[in-house]
Amino acid sequence: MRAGLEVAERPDAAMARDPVILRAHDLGKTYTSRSGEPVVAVQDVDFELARGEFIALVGPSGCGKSTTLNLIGGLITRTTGSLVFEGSQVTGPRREIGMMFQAPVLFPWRTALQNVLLPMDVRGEKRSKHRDRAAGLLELVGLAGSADRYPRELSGGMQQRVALARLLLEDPEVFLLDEPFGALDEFTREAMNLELLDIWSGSGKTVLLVTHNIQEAVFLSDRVFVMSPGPGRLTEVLDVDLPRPRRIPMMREQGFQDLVFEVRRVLGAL
Amino acid sequence: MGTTAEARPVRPGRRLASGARRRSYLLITAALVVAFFLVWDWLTSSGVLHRIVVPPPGRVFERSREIISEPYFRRHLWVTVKEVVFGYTIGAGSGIALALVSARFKSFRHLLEPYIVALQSLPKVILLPLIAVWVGYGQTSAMIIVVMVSFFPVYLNTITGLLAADENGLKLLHSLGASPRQAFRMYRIPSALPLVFTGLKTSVNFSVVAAITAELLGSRYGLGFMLANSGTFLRIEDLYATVVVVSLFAGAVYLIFELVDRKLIFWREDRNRFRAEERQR
Repeated sequence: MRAGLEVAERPDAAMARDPVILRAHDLGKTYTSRSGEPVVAVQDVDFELARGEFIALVGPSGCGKSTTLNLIGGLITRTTGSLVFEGSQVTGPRREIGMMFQAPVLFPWRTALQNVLLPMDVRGEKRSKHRDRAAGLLELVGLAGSADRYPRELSGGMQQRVALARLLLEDPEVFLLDEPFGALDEFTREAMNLELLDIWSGSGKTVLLVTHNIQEAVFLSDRVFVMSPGPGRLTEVLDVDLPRPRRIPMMREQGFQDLVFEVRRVLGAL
Repeated sequence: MGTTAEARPVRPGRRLASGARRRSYLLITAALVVAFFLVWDWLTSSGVLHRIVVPPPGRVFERSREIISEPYFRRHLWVTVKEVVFGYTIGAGSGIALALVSARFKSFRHLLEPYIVALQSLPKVILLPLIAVWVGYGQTSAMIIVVMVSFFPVYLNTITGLLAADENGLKLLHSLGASPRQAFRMYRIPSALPLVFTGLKTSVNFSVVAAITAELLGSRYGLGFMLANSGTFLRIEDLYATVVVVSLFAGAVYLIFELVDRKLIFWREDRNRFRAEERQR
């Protein structure tokens, strides 16, 4: 009872209960090309992300998926619209929103563990304070014995696991994943997707995953955002009402197949 | 979790095979060196080459050993070492410092660039007579020329390395909320290190050559003077022996830098390329 009262008295309590963690309205980005012509990368993007939701973002190349992700991550500034995270406008990179890219981007002079600790180095915090948690995260992603190995001693899949552990150490509320396993072979990618689901489920974290793979998008997500190019727009949102936890055999089921087919139809890939 | 069996990038069979191949190359190299000395010895002992023009290798090595133990040699070696150490420290040091400032501040780079471009292709040795007019031939002129030749490779490699840092790393740091200053310190500088060291190694070789050239052209001290002196007085054995000793000196300097490089820049790409290709298969 007392604890409840305290929560209610906190000024951001109303916000904390808000099921929507991120709101984009009329979001747009226009670049100026070398010849001075304006190039519209994305336009009129509207969406709301619910807390704890897993969203897959699909669309053909050049439809502005990465631009949208970079806007949310605060890496680039929007030219139009608004982008509100937990009640405040996104104006730059912030701790609560973490990113992961197609390349693992590990620093070759740092060991796996030191790479995982990078966010804390950026914050200027003592490494020793976070070392145990970093080692635990490496264990979580299946790299218990590789903490002191250098990136060049790790395979592509292992490198991407280190990158995932680094993102987890940052402990953001929103995970922006830009085709994180896109460069890996089919088997490794599937295994990594399942591990990602395991780690995400029950964490309450919000995930926005960009992917080229329609099956993967349906298999992982609660909703599929479909974007289309020229200029990049969010054209369709599909609900994925498959039960969780998701298991590979579900891919055989009619409900799954229908959804994959529906996404294909929306993408015009039929 | 962690149940996927990902192939470790280690293939003992292949590595063994490559080790055997490397050993056989080493053997051929050594055999060629031995053959060279045998031919040289035969040419001098059979009289094809006159002993005064080309002394037998045995004599040259004997004389080299004598020279190394003479205080006369130590004195001259010390002079050259001093010129190289001081000149190189100033030249390479300012190369790194200016490159850091140039990489951090664009306007400074644009101001500096025309001078660098104009001066880098200039063969610095042609300035020696001019420098001699200002300060005379001697340790100072040698040191000045060492400063000049050691600056450019270090500056150019450092600035290239700093500016060529991978965009992805910078993007990652940006997403983590790093300031440009942090990105510079945590990412640009370490990514530039392999090239910085390439510059440092090139410069140290240039420095030794420049110091000795300066000494050859009229100094009364240093290894270059020793060379010139033995030539002038037709002490042919001494001349050969000095060439050997000076080569050993230059080789030792190179080796020290190479070892430090290997220790410090253990992630160097060009050295790991073979390994990376292995992993690709």
